[in-house]
Amino acid sequence: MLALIGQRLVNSLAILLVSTFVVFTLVALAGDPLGELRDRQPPVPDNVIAAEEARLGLDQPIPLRYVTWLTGVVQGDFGPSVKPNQNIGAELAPRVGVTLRLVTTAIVIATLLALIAGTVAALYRNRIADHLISTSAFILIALPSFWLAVLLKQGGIALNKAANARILFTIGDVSVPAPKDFLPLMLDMAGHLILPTIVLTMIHFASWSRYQRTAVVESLSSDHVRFAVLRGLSRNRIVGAHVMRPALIPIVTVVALDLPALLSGAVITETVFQWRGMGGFLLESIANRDANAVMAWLLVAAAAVVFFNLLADIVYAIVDPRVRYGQA
Amino acid sequence: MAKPSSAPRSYSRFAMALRRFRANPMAMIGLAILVALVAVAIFGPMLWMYGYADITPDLSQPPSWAHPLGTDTLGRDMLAMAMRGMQQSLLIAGTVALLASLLGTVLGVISGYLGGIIDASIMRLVDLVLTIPTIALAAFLGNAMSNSGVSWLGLSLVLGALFWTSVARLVRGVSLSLREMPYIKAAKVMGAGPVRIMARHMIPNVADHIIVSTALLVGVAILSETGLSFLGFGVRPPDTSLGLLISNAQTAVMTRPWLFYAPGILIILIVLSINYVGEGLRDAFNPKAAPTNPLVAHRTRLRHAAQPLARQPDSVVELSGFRVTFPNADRPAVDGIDLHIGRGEVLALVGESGSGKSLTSLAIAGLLPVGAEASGTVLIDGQDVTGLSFAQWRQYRGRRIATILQDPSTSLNPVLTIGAQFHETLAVAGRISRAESRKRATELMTLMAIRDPESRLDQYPHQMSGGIRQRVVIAMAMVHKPELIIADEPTTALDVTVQAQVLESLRIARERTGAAMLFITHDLALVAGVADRVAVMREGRIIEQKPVHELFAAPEHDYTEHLLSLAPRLDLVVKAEVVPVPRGEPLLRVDGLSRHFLRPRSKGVSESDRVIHALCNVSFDLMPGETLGIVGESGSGKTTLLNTVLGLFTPSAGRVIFQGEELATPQARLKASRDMSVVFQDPYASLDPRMTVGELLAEPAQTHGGQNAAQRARTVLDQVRLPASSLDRFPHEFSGGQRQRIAIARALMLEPKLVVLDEPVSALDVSIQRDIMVLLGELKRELGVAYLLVAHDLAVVAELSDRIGVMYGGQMLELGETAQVIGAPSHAYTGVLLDAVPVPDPTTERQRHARGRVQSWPTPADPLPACTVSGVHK
Repeated sequence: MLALIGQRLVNSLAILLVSTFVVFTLVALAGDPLGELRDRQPPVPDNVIAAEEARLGLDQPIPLRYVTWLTGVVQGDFGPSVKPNQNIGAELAPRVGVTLRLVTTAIVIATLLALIAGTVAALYRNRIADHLISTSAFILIALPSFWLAVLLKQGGIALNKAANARILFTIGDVSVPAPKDFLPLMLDMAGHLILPTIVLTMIHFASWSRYQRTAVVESLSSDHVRFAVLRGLSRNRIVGAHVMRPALIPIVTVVALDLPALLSGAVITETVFQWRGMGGFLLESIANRDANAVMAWLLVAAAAVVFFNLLADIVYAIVDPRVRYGQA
Repeated sequence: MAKPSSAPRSYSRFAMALRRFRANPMAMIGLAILVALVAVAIFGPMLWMYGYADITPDLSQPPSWAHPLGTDTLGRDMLAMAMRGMQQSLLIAGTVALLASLLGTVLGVISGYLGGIIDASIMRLVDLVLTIPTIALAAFLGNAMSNSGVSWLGLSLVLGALFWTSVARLVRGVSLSLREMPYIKAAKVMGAGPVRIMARHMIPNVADHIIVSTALLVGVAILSETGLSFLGFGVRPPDTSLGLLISNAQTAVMTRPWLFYAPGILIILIVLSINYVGEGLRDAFNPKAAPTNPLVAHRTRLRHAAQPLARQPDSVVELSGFRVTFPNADRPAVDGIDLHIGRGEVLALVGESGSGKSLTSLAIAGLLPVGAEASGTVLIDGQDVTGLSFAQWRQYRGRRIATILQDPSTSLNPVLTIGAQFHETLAVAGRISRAESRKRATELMTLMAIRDPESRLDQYPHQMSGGIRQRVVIAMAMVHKPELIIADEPTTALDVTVQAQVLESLRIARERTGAAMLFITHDLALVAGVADRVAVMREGRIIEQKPVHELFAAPEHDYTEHLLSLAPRLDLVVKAEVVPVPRGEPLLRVDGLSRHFLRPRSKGVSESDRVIHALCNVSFDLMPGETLGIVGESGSGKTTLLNTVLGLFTPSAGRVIFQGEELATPQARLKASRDMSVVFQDPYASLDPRMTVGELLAEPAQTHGGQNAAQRARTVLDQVRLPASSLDRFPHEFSGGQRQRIAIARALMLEPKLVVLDEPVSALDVSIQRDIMVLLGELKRELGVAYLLVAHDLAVVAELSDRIGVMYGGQMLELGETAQVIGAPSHAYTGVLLDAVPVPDPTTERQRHARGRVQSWPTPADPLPACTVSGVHK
């Protein structure tokens, strides 16, 4: 078990290393961060541009820049930003927490909902419950997340206006100024979480519930479930231990694979609700062509993905003894 | 080459899928909406009076006749903009999906088919792409590119490069399983190269998956493109896109809702209809038999017969006038049968596939499949069980009726320990402590002759052999001392020597519990030693029902007689004519052939234990025109031997010499594949479902440049007794036996000198087995071809072979003339094998019970000799 995790960890680190190099190269080749500076009218003196190039390390070949960047990252320095006074690490760190708060909440709720909806739909296959759940899932899958986000936000604003009170928070991840005490702070954050979480959850739970439904339908028709029924076990026991447990394996894979999509969704949601999270940081950095800032963002995202896949592997091993004993 | 389907009845699988698609209302509605929207996107802008950039004097107008979707704050017509937006979105999404599926298909097929290091690198590449949130990289690259003048194409390229992974993973997964399909192996043996196999066999067979995922990808791509445009990194003004339109309308939701809702609903409509079309395509390509749900099966209520028939006294189960029909079936699956099982009696229900024997047993346990309609009476202990609810059935299931299913590898839950499954079974009758349940389970398992039962309780099913698992299942059946044990083909999935042990366990279980037994099987020979009474079923009817001795002594019905005549009588094998083995140059020489595999590293396995000697130092000669039969149980190495001879595995040591030439190089293989062909076990899997019979038969000739393939195809079809009209049909239009004839015809196309037969009849029904065996015998006499026959069934091997080789644990234990091996075996294991074969004679079979089985082999005192051949091949 530990050996398995260790091996996965080594693999993950290797992937992370290669992935960052590829992305670094792409980002470095894609655009000139100083393009705006060069095009400025009246022209900026050459020595200013040269100094800026030297500060950002643009005068060096890409592999060397990567090594410099990597050594910096290991020491906690994400490299210089295009914005002269910005420390990328210091800027990004609190935003990571904000985004993770949203993404983790959404994952937990969406997974639970998907498990319930998918299982119910499969158990009552081709009956009203299934038709209702499946049709809503199809519609939710087709909803563009940004459209839903804008709709909910405007709906929230309208509601607040109509009630003449702040019922739903529609802007930001926390009130300004933030409450000082712990409990009010938590409540305030939770309140701000509601609408964005609904957006992220809805979109993803729908597609996951389809996978869960397929898994349960398959599980239901498997021999060991029939055998469990023939042994006279109770319905609850059959659904819990014989139908659900084997059907947990596919959903773990799907959730882990979908994390990058969730992060993308978070970017959109945060933008609409004007959170100071990773999304805003990314968009701003892209607009500024701030290569190091984008790299830092991608590194955090990739690390999160790798970490979640590792988590998925561990969950597999817990759910499926065949994995635990290295036979499948 | 055969012309594509000229016969009116012949539909390709693609045409059938299209018909199924047309029958799916949601998919057709989706398709109609999609086609309409695409048409509007393409032709709308040409016909509509306003251009998307035209500024009209009507500012912020709500929808009206002049502006059906209203206008924005600058006075631009919303309908014109929406149509332009759709155009952009569909164009980009379509391009992305095409690019991604093209890239994904190529990489996926290569990865899945070639495997090894190529597969590993491609999959790492997939992992790598998957770590990147699409939107971030697409936005960055799109931003960088579109400023330098790259438009929709640039965006499509970037998205395509990020989206291929899902297709690649899917295609690889399918390719991996396709690679193991016999028809791919057959193509390899025919000498087809990897490019040909990938292009002719793999891609056509993954095509349906690719079409579905491409369709779904269009939806995903639209959502991504509009998302990017919404953020300002996709389509840029002055051009427009649906995402951009929504972005512009963000603050207008309340004031000018038409600006916000119109593009949003368009996106939803497009993606929704694409998804329904995709789902419809998936169902059309892979029609699944309605999956069963044993939790609702009780809803199939039985209709009462008007008058319950006179009851047999003291019967556990009584069926009268019992009938099961399926909608759309031309005859009832079970057609008004009367059946009773007395207390403590063993009734064997014998029939071929489709005879309705399994449905009958399911009905007794209350588990008819969804959609089945049943009528008649079913009494258990005199109680009417028709229309019981799930909860009421629980009074019977497990406690009064125990069931044993066919395949022990699937009937136990893979994620629960044996102990946990025992515990839940015991707890059916009421609360029980863990310690108590362990004690009871241990007792029962000891009774079943399972060694070290205490530690077995903590193991999972996959850690045990099939025989042990089936004995665990039998032990579970005994838990509540049932009145009836239903055993549904309990030994069919097991080896013949294990079969004997499991039958013995069943006997013990029945004697200990005093239960009656319903024993369901297709094998009449098996019945002789087990049953008190036998019922023979055919096409839903019981045609004969008699005590076992009477049935075997004087079968009344022709069908029973026919079945009995088919049962091989090994005990009566007297091969009078011993064909003298021709001297001279052997056709095939196998010399010291070995093949090793490495077990994956895991805890408790030392480095030296990791080597599996699947094949160890096997040598034999096969003369021209001779038949050599190799017999062995699973794990004996017979399949490895066959695969190594065919060149599907490379040997770890030793040589395969065919017609005097060692088959060590691809060139030698290619040359040999002209004269060596193969027939695989499963006729459903050994013919490429996408090819007509004509194309299938032409394939060997194509790889070897033979001419006049059409003429030759007619000849071989005639040889296997199939009409020439078969040429234009697809394999799925034939029955199992006919398909096996097609596979044999293909093997004969190039007039081979050697045909390798891999379990050629074991997937077929008994009566069809006979026909194929007769055909093989005739072909051998007519064509003088040599057979290398591999099978687990000693009777099949004995009937066809001149010589027999017996394998166990990768080693050839005995090799000799058929009469000698069957009549006077020299190795102890051959004796065990012979003894385990059931004899279709109740008296002989019962005498054998009385004197006990032959001592099994290997034993600790007389083990299998260790394999001394070294050299490990991965």
